Parts: sequence; structure tokens; C-alpha cells
Amino acid sequence: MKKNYIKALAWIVAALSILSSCKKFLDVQPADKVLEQQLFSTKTGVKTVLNGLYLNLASNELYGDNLTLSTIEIFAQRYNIPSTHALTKIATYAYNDKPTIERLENIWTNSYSTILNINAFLENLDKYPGVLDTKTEKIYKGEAIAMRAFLHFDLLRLYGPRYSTADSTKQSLPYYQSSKSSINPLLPANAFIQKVIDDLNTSQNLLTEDEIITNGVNIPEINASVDFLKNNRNYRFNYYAVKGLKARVFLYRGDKVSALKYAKEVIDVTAKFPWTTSTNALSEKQNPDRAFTTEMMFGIMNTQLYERYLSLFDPGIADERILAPITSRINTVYENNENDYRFNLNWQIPTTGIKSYKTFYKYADVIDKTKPFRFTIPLLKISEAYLIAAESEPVVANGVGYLNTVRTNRGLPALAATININTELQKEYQKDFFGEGQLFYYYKRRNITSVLNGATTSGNIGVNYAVPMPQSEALYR
Amino acid sequence: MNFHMTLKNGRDARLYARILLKLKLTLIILTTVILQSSAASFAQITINEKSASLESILQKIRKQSGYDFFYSNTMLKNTKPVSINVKNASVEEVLKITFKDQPLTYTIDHKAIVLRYNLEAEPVKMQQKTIVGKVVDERDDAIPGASIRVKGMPAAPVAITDANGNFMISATEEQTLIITYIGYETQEIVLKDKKLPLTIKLKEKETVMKDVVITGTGINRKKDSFTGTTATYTGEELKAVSNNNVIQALKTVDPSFLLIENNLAGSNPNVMPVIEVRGKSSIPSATLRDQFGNDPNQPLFVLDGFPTSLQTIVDLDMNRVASVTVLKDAASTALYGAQASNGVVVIETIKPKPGELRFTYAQDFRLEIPDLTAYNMMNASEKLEFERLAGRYTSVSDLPAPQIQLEELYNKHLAAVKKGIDSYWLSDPLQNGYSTNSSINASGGDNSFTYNVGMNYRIGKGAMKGSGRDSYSGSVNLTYRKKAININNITYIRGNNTSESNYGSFANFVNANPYFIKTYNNPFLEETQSANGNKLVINNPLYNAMQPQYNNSKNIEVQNNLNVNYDISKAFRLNGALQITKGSSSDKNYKSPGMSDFLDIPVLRKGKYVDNRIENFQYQGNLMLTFYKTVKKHSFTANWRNTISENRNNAYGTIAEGFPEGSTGNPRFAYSYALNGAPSASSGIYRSLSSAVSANYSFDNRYLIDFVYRIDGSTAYGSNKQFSPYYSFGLGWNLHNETFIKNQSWINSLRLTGNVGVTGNQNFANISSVSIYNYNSNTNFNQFGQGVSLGLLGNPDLAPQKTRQISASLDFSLFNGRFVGYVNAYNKKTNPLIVPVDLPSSTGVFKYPYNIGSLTYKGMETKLTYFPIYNLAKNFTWNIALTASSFKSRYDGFGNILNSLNKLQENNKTLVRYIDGNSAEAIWAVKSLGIDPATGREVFLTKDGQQSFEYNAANIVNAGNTTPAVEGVISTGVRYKGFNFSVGFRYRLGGDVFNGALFNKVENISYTSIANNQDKRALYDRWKNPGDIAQFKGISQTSVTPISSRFVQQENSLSSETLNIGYTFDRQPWLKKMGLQSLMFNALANDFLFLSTIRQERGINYPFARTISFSLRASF
Repeated sequence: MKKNYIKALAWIVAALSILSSCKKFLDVQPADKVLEQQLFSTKTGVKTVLNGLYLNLASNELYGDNLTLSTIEIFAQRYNIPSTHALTKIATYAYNDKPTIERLENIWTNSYSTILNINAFLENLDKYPGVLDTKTEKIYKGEAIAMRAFLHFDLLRLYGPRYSTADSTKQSLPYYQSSKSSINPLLPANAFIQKVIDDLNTSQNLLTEDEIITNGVNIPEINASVDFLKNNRNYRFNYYAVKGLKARVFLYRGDKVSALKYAKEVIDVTAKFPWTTSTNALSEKQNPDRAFTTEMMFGIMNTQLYERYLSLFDPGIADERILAPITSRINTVYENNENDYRFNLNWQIPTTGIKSYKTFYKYADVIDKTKPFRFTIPLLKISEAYLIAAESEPVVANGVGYLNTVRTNRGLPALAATININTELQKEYQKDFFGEGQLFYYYKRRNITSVLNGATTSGNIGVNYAVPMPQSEALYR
Repeated sequence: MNFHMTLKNGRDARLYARILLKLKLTLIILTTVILQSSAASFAQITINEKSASLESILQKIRKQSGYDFFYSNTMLKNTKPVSINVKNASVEEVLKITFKDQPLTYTIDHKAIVLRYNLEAEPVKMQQKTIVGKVVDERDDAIPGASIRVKGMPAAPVAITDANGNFMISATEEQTLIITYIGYETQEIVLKDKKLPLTIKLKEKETVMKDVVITGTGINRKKDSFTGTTATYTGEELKAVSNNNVIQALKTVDPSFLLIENNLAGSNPNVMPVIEVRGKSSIPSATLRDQFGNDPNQPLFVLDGFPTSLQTIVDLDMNRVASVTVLKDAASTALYGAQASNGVVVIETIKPKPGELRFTYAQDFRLEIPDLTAYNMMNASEKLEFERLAGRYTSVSDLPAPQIQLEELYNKHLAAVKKGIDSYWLSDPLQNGYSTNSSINASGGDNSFTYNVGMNYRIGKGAMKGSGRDSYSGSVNLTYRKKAININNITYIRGNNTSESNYGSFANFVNANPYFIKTYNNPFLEETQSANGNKLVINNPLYNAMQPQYNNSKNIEVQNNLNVNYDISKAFRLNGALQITKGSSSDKNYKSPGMSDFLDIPVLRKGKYVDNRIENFQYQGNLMLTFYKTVKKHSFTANWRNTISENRNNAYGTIAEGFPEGSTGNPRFAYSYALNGAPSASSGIYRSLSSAVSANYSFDNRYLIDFVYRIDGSTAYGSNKQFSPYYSFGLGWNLHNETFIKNQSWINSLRLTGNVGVTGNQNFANISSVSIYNYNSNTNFNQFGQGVSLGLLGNPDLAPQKTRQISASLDFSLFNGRFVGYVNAYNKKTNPLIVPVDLPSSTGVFKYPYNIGSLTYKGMETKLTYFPIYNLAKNFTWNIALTASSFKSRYDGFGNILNSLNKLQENNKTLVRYIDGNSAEAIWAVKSLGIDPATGREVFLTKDGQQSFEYNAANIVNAGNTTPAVEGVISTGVRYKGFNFSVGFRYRLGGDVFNGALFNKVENISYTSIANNQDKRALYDRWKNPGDIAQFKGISQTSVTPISSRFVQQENSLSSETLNIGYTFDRQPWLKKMGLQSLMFNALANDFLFLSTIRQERGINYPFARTISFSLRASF
């Protein structure tokens, strides 16, 4: 009888030990998929996820095309889009027609899905601790939170209400700071923008040890390996990019005091983002840095950029598909001043004679394929900080001073302190951010309802700022 | 001498001898008178003996009289000793004394005395004594309730063993006892020379009897002591219904086993059937299934103790099937825990039997005749007239030129019609399909080692030319039995080769216009313009069929099942089993560059080759400890069963493009891989573990209690909820064992059972719970390297779907088994469901799997069988059987969360909605008030009761239900000696149908589809002139008709399921001469009749077929 008990006990022990190993048995790692746990258990894995976020930004749906080169600039009437053009529905603000509806849908869903990726990234850094050292983790988190603020802010600028008062309470968009799939409410615009600012504050605090503060942008040698934390910091949400972004956000909110404060903080380190040179703009014929990437505080690297160029701006593209302005319009924008680096460098009538009008060369490839500035689309340049300061400066003369710094660095003469600064600022926004997507937001912020019609040689067109919330969102709300 | 010899042959000869004797006696009587006198005068016999043996007396008589005696030695066995004292007596006198009280009598034939049994004296009775004994099973446990009777004495009383297995019966030493008990093999015991008391060991039956429930887990239960609702069918029973496959046969015999008719795929042999047992347990949604997942509403199939795929069951050789058990409710399925909520179908194949080498050969032949009666298409003149009325030849533009063009076109078509062109395209892609199945099986062995080797090959050709499915299998089954150990090993190899018809979709032929001449040469029948000025190209369906192409798949699987039983003691048994399967399949599809698919494609990309391969490896193991104990009236069984399984799948696929003209599809000749293509690859590992305890207690075989608890772990669950418990509890009452019913002779068995339990559904992708990242594809790098982004956000809190089922069942057998049947009722609630919910896109996720809502099925099913003739002695039975099933379903708890899914259904123009309080089988459409006689337009009813010409999706309401009020099969069967006949009809009453033929071929005929042939009703029944009362809208309206209740029709249908005539020859002398043991012929017809109250097209992409089949089985 006793033996039986021992036998039974042995069975139970064996059974329990089997049960304890069950959990392991059931944790399966599928070979054809990359699991969260695999990625967040190594430094390389975490880096790949973070880099994935930047790659998402550079996708065609977001800043690789829609929000820089095409859609957003068409909204700003940059190009000649007659009724025969394939994208006429965009230029006429037909938000419920194809292809506008699809593009707006894509911008929305891709922005928010990148935000989900950011939130999952942040949560997983906490969920799988100890993989990164503290400094790296802080910087990674800082970058991700800044990107979250950046995306939300641009969504607000595009889909949100016109921020006409200093603190608009109009219903805007949902703000997501967690990957939990709960549905966040539509916030009043002021609450939304406060969240953007909160995120940027958090980010700035996390980035205080950013190496850009000591080492600058730090462009690596050709063919040298690129260190995530040390090199090319202007392709990441660095400490100064966050400050520059803050200046942009505060100005959008109408808080000129704060805007000026942060603009100045960035202006103070202009040396880290040096102005482009006349040599680059006027003499360099083979490999000019047309996008002025030295001035860039933040930008993306889009490895598909030259494909985009070939399908959007290349002179070989048929009239009904090319994105190019009417020559007289572009001449007006640049006030017919060939000394302007931006005009001379980026706008030419093709020498092949294939087009009789000026086409856009800013994103054309260069001959030397090793140039570090290739594939770059700037999203925040030092010049914008100067323009923000100029607009925010309570003393007009000081403002004109900032404006003139930009003008002199573009090969233009300084203006007298008596000019209408807003008129001149608008001109500079039109000139400086061609193909960078900022002009439409400038118009919207400044409440400019009537702008030059891109499809006609003269006359204006009314801008429709009521960009609707896409169906994929509105239907389920 | 001949006579003597015959008697010596023993028992069987006795009857024969008796007949012979009668003949001889007649002869004897005629001559006796003369012989008697002479005999009497000669013999004077003197004998004085006390208690001498009869034989010695007979010897003396012979010596003294000179008479010869004829008898067999066995005849003297039961004779009594003789005491006799005679002097000079005649032979007759001496014989009279000698044979007084003897079981023998005699006749004198000349000088011969023939002895025979004295039948009138009933000598047997005189010899009877009381035989006592005990019946036990192989583990020496007593078997209570076994019946013992004397062979050849049908009228004699039958003894039943008591609770300790003891019995008492009276019989003579000469006789043989027959011991029977359900679930055990019948045994005959010759009493001669047996020591009393007897101990009779019964062997458990290898082949299944209907009264045993095989759960497939190794736990086999007597139906009498089980509270679960199950139904068991023998392989023979199923084969009498259909010799195609088990699925086809089960749908006829079991009311709860529903085969969902696939109107698109018709009788395509390569489309797997859709099966439901007691309704659905989840929302059908492809998004939650990964590549290797199953239909989430499909029951679990268990073959010889291991879960298996539907495909294996479809291809299973029916001649190998011993039994099929359908487990329906919680008590019977809870042992399968997480896999059980759709029911379980347990299939056992024939086990080897000890004995001499025995061959069985079976040959099945099946003819598939396409059924074209459902197609109601126009002929050439009707079609042209329809086109004219529909405005095909009336230009929408005001310009004269297009109108002239259209009129010319009309005249051209008219000329063709007048010439008599009326092409019937439907017959071109069709053939009379057939399938043959040859199956051979050899088995034998002794008690310790038995073997069975079998193989089959089936060739199947479908009703469409070029479509077919060939399958084959081979198996070696070895059993070794010694003392407490029983080892069984089965090795299988099986596979199939399938091919799809090069004619593509049958719809193309149904739709082909009859006024065109059939041609094989041109990809188009006509290139012209439609009434609205667009280019109209009419494809030639025959053209593509003639181009080189193939669409084949190959599948092969090797499997080994090992099963070991070890009897630790009388009370404990240990059982372990392991299955290992390795399989591979490949799909190859080639389209040659000449096909119309590639008309607008550059030359170097014309032609396409797709190659997909899947490798599969799987193991499943289980270990079970069984405890069994009977103490007086208490009987207790318990099982502890643990399982482990792993399933690995690897898939790899490539696409090649560009083939030289005329290429027959060897990928060697492809120019390149697909443009921007990459090989597709996926792999999956699925693991599961379970531990289950089941216990059964029965008191006096009257009150029964069942309990099962199982804990299941699998990779499919949320990572926070890896394990999930399931359970069931059942009670049963065997009323027939109660004293107050025992006396009612008309009740043979009456049992009431009920149970409740929770089971699960595991047919989901195994990664729904885990977040997955993908490498970005298009912009997949920057200066910092590569990046990944979220592909799927897992829900780690996702709980498995659970189905709570309450069932009750009444089983009865009345009037000596003449009226048998059952009535079951159930309530099956799946809560929560797993539903892919679309959230606002700002959440960044789509189709996020959620636990939400519930789905409830309430239903009843019954099967009643009555035997007007039930004469087992003459082997003559006639039965009439009825099955019926009825159920209702209901969604709950969704709230508004599924609005997105509903929106999607609306956009996709489907009839399905997920709305609380409504049925899962509801048809959703806007209510229609019919066609306005004045305008020919449809009038809709809005939700607030207004009439409107405008269609508005907001007015969509529940417009019907596809579930019939009641559905079942009525059948009757006659069996007389070896002859059997049966016929069965399926009836469906009161279900609604959305009539696709009306929707697509009577209305919704666009400018483009006007060029296709349409249903005749499009010409005859559509509104033409103001005032017409018509069912269908104006004939000239090419506008889109939305889904409305006008196309929802109530259907009552009657279809023939099966007709079977057969004859079995068993042990006939001529069979023996041929070396055969038995020979069976069967002829079957399936689906030869379909009657319905509505007319709708059946078989859209592949026609339905009527089948006639023949089976032959011989064993030798």
C-alpha cells in the first residue's frame, strides 16, 4: 500500500514538472515573422524599430511625396494643374473625389499608424528593460516622442480647424499616446496642441545629452559607417530640431512670445546648421546641394526620391502629369531675381528643349553619387527659425533684421525696416519652402483664403481649408 | 453403410439424416409385414443382465439373433444402463424392454435393426442439469447483464448474469451455450467435458457495435451508461447510402450533420465541403485565419484516435471504415476541449481480426451525370428578342451614325437566328464523369499477433472535362497482444492528385450567346459596340479551353500511429499513443501565352506559371490512465488523459512570367520571374497541450453521472491567457432498468440524459495574440540601415471563444426493438466570439481581433425508426425512418461595435449583417413592394412605412432566414435474406433563399452583360408596358437593381438523397466452391431528383451532377 503512495507521488511530481515546462513549449517563435520580443531583446533590434519609424516618415504616403512634393504643394497652388491634368481634383480641392480622397486617406492612416508604431516602440522599451544603456534609451525615447508630436501637429495643421484665435477650442483630432486600441476622443484644438507641446517638452528633456549639442550634425566620412547616435543628427529628431519645432508650434498657436524664445534658441546655434553658400548655389554646376541640407535641423532621407523626381518633375513627363508651374507665375514668386540662389539653382527651362517652361530641379539627382546630401528632403531648416523670429519679434525693425539675414544668405539685398513685414515674409515662405510642404500651412495659419491660382497666368483662387476627416475615421466615430 | 457414415458427420447431418430416414422408413413400412413374420419365427433370445450398458446388451442380441444393428457411437452416449431378464424371447420383445426409457428407438428392416433418436420422448429434458458459471472480461472483471442461452433452443429461457457476473442455466452436456454481451464478441461454449462452474471470458469487440460510444480518445463507453448525445453508424450502413465518401453518407443518416450546399462549386470534386454540426460557433471571417487555418465552423475529425484534416476524410476509402460516431454535445465532446465546439466526428477503421488469411476485395464505380435541368436559358430567337426589347439596338446618343451601326448589328444577328443558328453551349465543357475505386485488404493472424494490409486507388473524373481527383492509400496494421500488453501500429501512405477543368468557369458557357456559331479559333465571338457607345467585346469561352494549360495539385502524406495498452492491474490501465505525420503538397498552374488573359500584356510577359509548395510535419501524442472499479451496484470509471501536439507548416511559392508561344508549361522555358515579384514564403508552428480528467459513475446501471474537466494550452491564445479550462457535467437515468418499467414488456430501453458543458474553438490563426513586425518593403533602408514596422498589433488579452452547450436527450427502443429513436434538444451559446473589428483609422489598426458578442443556437433533432416487419429469424425487416432537425440562431452583445463590419457587408453587397437579436442565417435586404405597373420601377418600403422609388441602404431590414423551419430525411429500407433495398429523400421546409438567378440573370443586366445569355424570365416576366403587373422591373432598364426582398423567396424542396439496391451472398455452397466467403453487390443512385417550389440556378461555376454507382465486395 505504501508503495502505491510513493508511486502516486512520483506521478504527481512528474506531472507538475511537465506542466511547468508547458509554458515554454507554447511560446512559439514563427520563423516567417519578426516578433516584438525578438526585436526588443537586442540593441540592433531596437535600432531597427526606431529606424523603421523614420522610414515610415519617408514613405510616399507621408513626407516622401504627399506631404512635401506633391499633394500638399498642389493644395498651395504651387504648380500649373489645369483641368486636363491628372491631379486637377487635388488642385480644385475636390476632397471627396479621387485621387484627393485616397491621398487624404493615406496621409491620415499612415500618420496614425506611424504614431501607433511610436507608441508601441515606447511601451516596449519599458516592457523589455535593460537592453539599452540609459543615455541611449533617453535619446531614443526623446526622438520617438518628438516624432509623435511632429506627426500629430502636421495632422492638426492639415485636417484640424483653422487656428484663428490664440487658443482655439474647436473640435480637432484624437491624440494617441498609447498603443492600447481604445478610441481616443476628438480633442479641442487647444487641448490637442497642448499635448503636442507637452510631448515636445518631454522630448527636449530626454534629449539633453544629445551629442549634437557638443559635436554638431557630424556628417561622417564617405563610406564610413553611420552611427545612430553620433552622425547625421539632422536626419533624426535631435535636441535643436525639437526646439525649432516648438517655435513652429507656438507660432501656429499664436503664442509669439514662446515662438520667439525657441526660435532664438535655435538661431543661437546657427553655426551648427550653416547657411548655404553662393559657391554651392551659383558656381557648383555638377553636384549642387539644391535642398540646402546644411541648413537642415531635421529632414528625411528618402531612398526613392529620384524615382519620385522622375515621375513628378522630370521634363520628360507629359504635360498632363508633370508638376511644374506656369513660368510667369514662378518668375513672379522669385520676383524675376536670378540672383536668388533658390531661383537660379532650382528652376530652369530644360536644355533638351523638351519643355518650353521652367521645371523643378530641386530634387534632381547629382552626378556624384557619393554626396551625403542625396535623397534628402528637409522638413525643418534654420531659415524657418529666422522667419518665425521675424514674425514673432514685437519690434518690427528687429523682425526685419531676421528676415534680412535669410535674404542675404539667399543672394538677395536687405530690405528697409519700413517694409510690410508680413508681405515680405509670405514671399519668403513661397520661395524658401518649395517642395517642402510648408506653404499651405502658412496660408492656413495666416488665414489667407485667396491665393495665386497656379493654373492661370493671373488671378486668384479660393483655398478650401475644410479638409474632411477621412471616411475610415468618420464612419466609425 | 452410407447411412451410418452420414450420422457420424454429427449435428448438421442430423437434419439431413432425418429426411433420408423418412424416405427409407416409407420403403421399410411397405416391406415390413412379410419380414416381420419370418423374423419372429427364428430368433429365441435369453439375456439376464443388471445395469449393463446398452451396447453390451445390443451385442448379445446380435449374437443370439443374427440381426445387425445400425447406429453411431455418439447415439449411445446418453443411453441408460439396462436391466433385463428374458428367456427365449423374440427380438421384438427384447428390444421393447431394452429401449424402454432410452432416448433411442428402432426399426427392424429385414435382419437389420436401425437405431434412431426417440424424438417424442424428449430425452434431452431428462438429461438436463444446472450449469453454473461466471462471465468475465479480459481483465477478469465480472460482466453483469450478459445473456446466456442454449444454442438451437430459441424458446428456452435465457439467463442473465447478475452484478457479479454469475449465472445459472439448465442444459444438457450435449448442448452448447451462447454468451452475448454488447461490446463483446459472442462466444459459444460446448458444455461437453467442461468442469463446473464455468468461467467464460468475453473478448471486447474490435469492430464497433452501435451500443458503444467510441470517443476517439481511447475512452470507449457503453451507450447505456453514457450521458452524452452521440450517434454511431457502421461503415456498411454508410456505404449503403453513398459509396463516394463518409461526408456524403453522414449527411443523410444524421440530422445534425449539415452539409452546406455550395451553389457556386456544384459537384466539383476538388472543392472541400462546408460542414456544420448544430450550427455555427463563430463569425466566418477570413481575416482571422492564417494560411494553414481551418474553416472556423468545421467539426473536428478524429481518425483512429488522432485529429485529422477534412481532406483526409474526404479521400478516405469507405471500404476501410468500421464506424463513424458523431459527438454532438458537451458531455461527449468535452474531452476535446478547445477543439470541440463544432462537434467531433470520430472515424475508426477496420481493425485486423485473428483468423486465417482473409482477403477482401471491393470495387466501386460511380457515374456522374451533369444535371442541366436547373438552367433556364433563352434560345437564340428569345435572346435576340430580349436584346431588342432591352434596348441593345437603340442608341442612347442622338446622333444617327451609332443608331445605324446598331441596326446593322441587329440585322446581322437576326440573319443568324433566321438561318437557324441556336448554339447550345452548355454541353461543351461537360462529360459524364466517373470514378472507380479498387480496394483490397488482407488480414489474419493468431491471438497474439494480427495483421492487416490494405490499399486502394481511386480514379475520379468530374462532370466538367479535365477536372478530376485521384486518390490512393495504403496501410499496414499490426497488433501484438501478450498478457497485459497490447501494441498496435498502423502505417499509412496516402495522397491525391487533382486537376481543374481547362474550361474554367461553367458560368461562361451558361452565359454564352446562342446566336453565335461555336468556334475554337478566335478569342472573341464578336467585337462591337453597346447601346451607350462603349466598345463591347464578347469573349469566346471555348477559345481558352483549347490553349495549353494546367492547374494541378499533388498531395502525399506518410503517417504512423502507434498505440500501446498496458494493464497495470485489474483496475488500472495505461494507454499511450503517438502519431507522426509528414506530408507535402504542391500546386502548379500554367496559363499559356495565347490565352485571352494576356491580350494586353507585353510579349515577354505573356504566359504565367505559378508554383506553390507546402511541407507539413506533425506529431501528436497522448498518455492516458484509466481506472475502473465495480463494487456491487456501483460502477466507477475514471480517465486521466494528457495530449501534446505540434504542427509545422512551411509554404513556398514562386511565379514565373513570359513563355514562348505554344509552350506546354515547363517552367524551364519561362523568360523570368514575375515583374517586381518575390518568392512567397510562410511558415507556422502550432502547438497545443492538454490534460483532461473524465469520470463516470453509475449506480445499478440506473443512475449515471459523467464529469469531464480539461485544461487546454495552445499557441493560438493570447499570451496572457495561454491556458483555458473546459468542462462538462452530465446526468442520465436508465428508466428501463427501473422495476416499474422492467415489467412493461413493450419497453426495451428508455433513457433520459442531460448535460451541460463548455468547449472551445481553436480554428484561428496562431498569432492573433502577438505583435508582429515586418521589414519595410518599398523604402526599406536609409543611411542608418533597415527598419521594421508593426505588421499586426496583437491582442495579448484575447481569450479563446467558448461555447456553452446544454443538451437533453431521450433515447428509446419499444415493442421489441420495432420502434427506436431519439429526441435531442440543445442550447448552444458561444460567448465571447472573436470578431475582427475595424476601429477608427486613427487607432492605427485594422481588423483588430476582439472578444465581443455572442451567438446562440437553439434547436432540436430527432431520428425515429419504425419496423413494420421485424423478423430476425427469417432475416426479413422493413423499416421506415424519419430524421428532422430544426434550429434558430441569434446574435447578442455586439452593440454598435460591428457597424464597420456591417458597413463592409453593405459595400460588398452581401446579405449578411451582425446585429443583436437577429439570426446568423438572416438575409438582409430592403423591403420591396414590387414593381409599379405604371412605370416598371421597383417600389421600396422605407423603415417608417413610406413607399419610395429611391433605394436607401438605411432601409435594410431582416428580410428572411435561410434556415428551414425543419429539415431532414425520410427513408425506408427492406432487407430480406441477402436482399436489401433502401430509398431516402431530403425535405426542407420553410427556408428562405436569395434567388441569385433572378438577381443576376433576370435583372441587373447591364449594357455589357446584355450580350450574355440570360434567364428566360428576363424576356417573359419583366415589365414591358404601362399597366403590366410584373414581378420584374422594366425590360429596358439596365440600371443596377439593389438587393431587395423581391429576390428573397421561400423554398420548400424535396430531393432524393439515396436509392440503393443490393444483394449479399453469404456462405452459399456455390460461393465456397469459388473459394469465396461472401459476395456483395450494390447499386446506388444519388441526387437524381430535385424538386423545389422556386426556380433558381444551381451550380454556377460547376454544374451539379446526378450520380449512379455500383459496388462489389468479395471476401475470400
